[in-house]
Amino acid sequence: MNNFHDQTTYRKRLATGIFLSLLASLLMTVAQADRPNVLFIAVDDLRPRLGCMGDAHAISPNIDQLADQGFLFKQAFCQAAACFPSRVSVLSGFRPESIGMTGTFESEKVPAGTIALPRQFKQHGYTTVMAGKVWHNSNDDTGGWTRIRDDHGIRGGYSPGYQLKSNQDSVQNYLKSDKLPLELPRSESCEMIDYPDDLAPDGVIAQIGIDELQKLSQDNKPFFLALGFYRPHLPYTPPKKYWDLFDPDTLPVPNFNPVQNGLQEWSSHELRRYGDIPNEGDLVPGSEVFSAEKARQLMHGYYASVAFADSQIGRVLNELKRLKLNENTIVVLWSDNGFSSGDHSWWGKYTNLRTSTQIALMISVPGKKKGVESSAFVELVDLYPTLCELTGIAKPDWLEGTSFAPLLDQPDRPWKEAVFTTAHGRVPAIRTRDYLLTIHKRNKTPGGSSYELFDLRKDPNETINVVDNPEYAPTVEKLLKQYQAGWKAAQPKGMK
Amino acid sequence: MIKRHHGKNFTLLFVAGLAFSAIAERPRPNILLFFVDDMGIGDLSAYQAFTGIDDSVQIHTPTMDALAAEGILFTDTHTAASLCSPSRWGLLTGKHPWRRADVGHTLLSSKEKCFLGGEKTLPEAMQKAGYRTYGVGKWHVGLGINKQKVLTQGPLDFGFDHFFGQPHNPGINGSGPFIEERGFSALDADMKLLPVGVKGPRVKFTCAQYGQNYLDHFRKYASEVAAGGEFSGKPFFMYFSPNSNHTPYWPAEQIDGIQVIGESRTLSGESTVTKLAPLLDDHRDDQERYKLTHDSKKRGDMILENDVILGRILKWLDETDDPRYPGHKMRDNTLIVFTSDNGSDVRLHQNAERSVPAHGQLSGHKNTQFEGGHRVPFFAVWPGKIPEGKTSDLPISLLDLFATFTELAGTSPDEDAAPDSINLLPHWLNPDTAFSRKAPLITLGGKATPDMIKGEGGKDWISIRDGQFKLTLTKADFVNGTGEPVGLYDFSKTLVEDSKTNLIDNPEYAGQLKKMQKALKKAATEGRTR
Repeated sequence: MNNFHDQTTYRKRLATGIFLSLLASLLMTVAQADRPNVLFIAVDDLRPRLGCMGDAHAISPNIDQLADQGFLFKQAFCQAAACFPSRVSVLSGFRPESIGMTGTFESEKVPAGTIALPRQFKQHGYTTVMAGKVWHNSNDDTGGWTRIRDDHGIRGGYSPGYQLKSNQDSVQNYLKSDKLPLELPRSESCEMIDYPDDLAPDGVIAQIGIDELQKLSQDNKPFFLALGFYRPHLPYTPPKKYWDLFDPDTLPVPNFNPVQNGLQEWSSHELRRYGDIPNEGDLVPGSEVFSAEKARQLMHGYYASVAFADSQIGRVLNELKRLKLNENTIVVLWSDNGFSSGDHSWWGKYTNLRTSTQIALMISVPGKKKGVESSAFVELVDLYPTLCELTGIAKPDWLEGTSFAPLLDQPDRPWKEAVFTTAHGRVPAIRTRDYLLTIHKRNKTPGGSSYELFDLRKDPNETINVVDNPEYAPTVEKLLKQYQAGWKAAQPKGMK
Repeated sequence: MIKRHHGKNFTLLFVAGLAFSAIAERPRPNILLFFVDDMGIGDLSAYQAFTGIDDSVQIHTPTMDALAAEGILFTDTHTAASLCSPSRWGLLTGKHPWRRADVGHTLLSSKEKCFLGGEKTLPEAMQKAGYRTYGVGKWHVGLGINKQKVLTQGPLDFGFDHFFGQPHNPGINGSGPFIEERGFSALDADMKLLPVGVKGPRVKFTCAQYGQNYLDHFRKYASEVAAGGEFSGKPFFMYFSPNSNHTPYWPAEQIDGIQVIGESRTLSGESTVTKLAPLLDDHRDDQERYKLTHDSKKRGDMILENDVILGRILKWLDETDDPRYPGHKMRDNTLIVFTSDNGSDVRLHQNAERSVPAHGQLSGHKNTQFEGGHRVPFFAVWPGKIPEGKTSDLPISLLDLFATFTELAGTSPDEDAAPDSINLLPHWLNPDTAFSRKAPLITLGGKATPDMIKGEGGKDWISIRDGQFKLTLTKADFVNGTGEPVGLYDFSKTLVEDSKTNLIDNPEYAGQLKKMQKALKKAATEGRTR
């Protein structure tokens, strides 16, 4: 499946890359005035609990407005439902099938000569600026940026934004290691403090964004400005005014029941890293260690964090409009993965289920259709080729996504038949309109199967693994073939 | 500065109350709603600590101030609308007037159509709960006068046992016919009702002048209860609604020998004619006609007139034995609520930044969607029950009186009544205990008048509160609860509503805006907020 370890291909790619960048530098002086800027907005762990995605509880007016002014993808999926691998995939253009669930672009699994998306833009004459969480590992390919702005986050990729001294102190234990020893004091999952937005890391990022837009608007080079917002990732620490936007009693209560006949192992709860969450026991209401009130608070915190991130994003988008830069700027907003707020008894992401893999994705492109909602299957790995195509940068040949630029002109054209995701423990999956099939190496169902099959026509919420039902045997066989044929075969016709 | 002083007799009353409680159980209270017209929050010196108005231009209202000090003074009270009719309709029904297309912002002064009838009313609920119900003063929610000029639908059809008053405001030439019980006829020059259909002289009257009547209903109650029979043991519900200080400014010469005209003073002791009138002297297109009814030199005396009348009523309550509460005076067990139907009508003086003397720091005036239109004076007093000397900043609505009064009467509003009324009694009795009015405060603007500055409010305007935030919308669709948002203000910072304080285009508050739009939609589509 993976042929990138072939040395010849390596060199060819490297040579192509160098050649293209030289060519681009030559063309740059002629074409750069017309090339659109890119405002690249990443939002951490944003399951699309958004007004524009039909969530009546959500308060996300700024993001909704962006969707309204652009193109909203209602069926967009990440390739890996965890920050590290998802972001490496987006920015390298590779899928986890090729480079594994790697946590860093510097991994040797990423072929030498791979040019990450920001560097691609930089080499094509763009001023590239980063603030906040863009890569998970903030040391990844730092040379790809013209400048990196310090958001005062505690550690690249994780910025809790605590205001209370007690939480600021205890979170140090979390920061020492990714595997927090549970006996050490832990910070809280939620903090509801009345404080100004600008004291939060995301407030700082918004300020940087505004400041950069003002600077960049004076520049005669096009820009690629990447802003990565930390919320709604845990912990839930938005200012109190965002908590006050919701009545927790009216927020939805998830279906806490685990997947029937499921195979995914739920071993490492991200939520347990927080001091108000017990080390052991089921994290579902009614268990001896976990209350409905805590579940409600976490749901409240998630919605409040979305509203807060939305507000910060709105500040930047407003400045873009004020400077009239929106007339020549592509704005793309995406999230690296979803988040399961107790759904399937699971707090976190990491699975192949929709709660973990469905993402927010929208793009506004000057001169293209506005207010379009598309239910075409798109993948996060498609971002790299799409942005190349929209800015006139030649698409490198290693890219494993498909530019969705053609959809922007023809929203109704047939598109991908399937999307591919990978869960923790290297559990790959294929999702079609009607089914989700996940492929496990170790575990087996009582019927002896190592697959999970969800019939999305009858079970859109992915609650029952029906693989042991013999009626589905032909379906499993068909899906396995489709899975083995891979992403290339699932591409829209004419692109295969 | 005026200091809020404690009621002198409170401790004594309280001790007396305790002593008697062993002998006589305190019966349900009488209720007096003193519901004045067009009084701004700056028109009452009891609000000086809130408005910060200087002594030199703060009109002095000694009786109101002393009474307010005996109870809780509310600083964030709102009418249903910034204009008389829908505000009164809302108070009487406990329902937002915009829920009915024919009520909305309309002046309900029709003689042919009464706008009550579709909803259960507050006096009906009080009557049902065993109260004797009396109405005095301005009605203004329409009457059913048929072609034979006979009143077919009036106050007595909606829960009042007795009523005397006027259907609406007097015009420039004086008053038309009056309502007395089921009669609707003109007054003669001696303020006596003429037979139906007989045309009387136009009288330039005030509340005080038809009231030899201002105490009539209190006396009537006393005699009815004394007569025993079906009335014995019944408390009274008195809806006392003087026309002061609505225009025309025609204050009484004197009341019960107390001089009114020319007697109103500022807190610094100077005549309102010299100190206040020049500040209130606004300018309108129709100057000549306007002067006849809006002579600012007389406005201070209109306020004083209410102050004097309130004093006379308190005197009667203080001096009259309560037949239901042996050993006590009427006053000891009468709950008094003082409020106004909307803000002051005083407009922005051309040389002033804001018409401070009537509105304090509030923007706008009657008929506007600004706070000056619908944030009104309000205090509640009940000796020995409501703690004295308290100030509350809880946002409340006049719509709440329906539920609160019926709770006081020992019942609750019927399930299908008063859909927007919240019982405030727990807060009144224990103002220091946490209380949240779990319903959005919604107010309507008034009718746009030609001299109003564009963007101030009028037809199709509505506003909704959420804690410290206020959202104002125009082009409202009252069925679906939608509209074009035009103003978003954070009152934790300032009460001023202008382009500088407006947060409507601030993306940081877009979430707050969305939340309030949702709340309005919910309030409209669900048909109730309680």
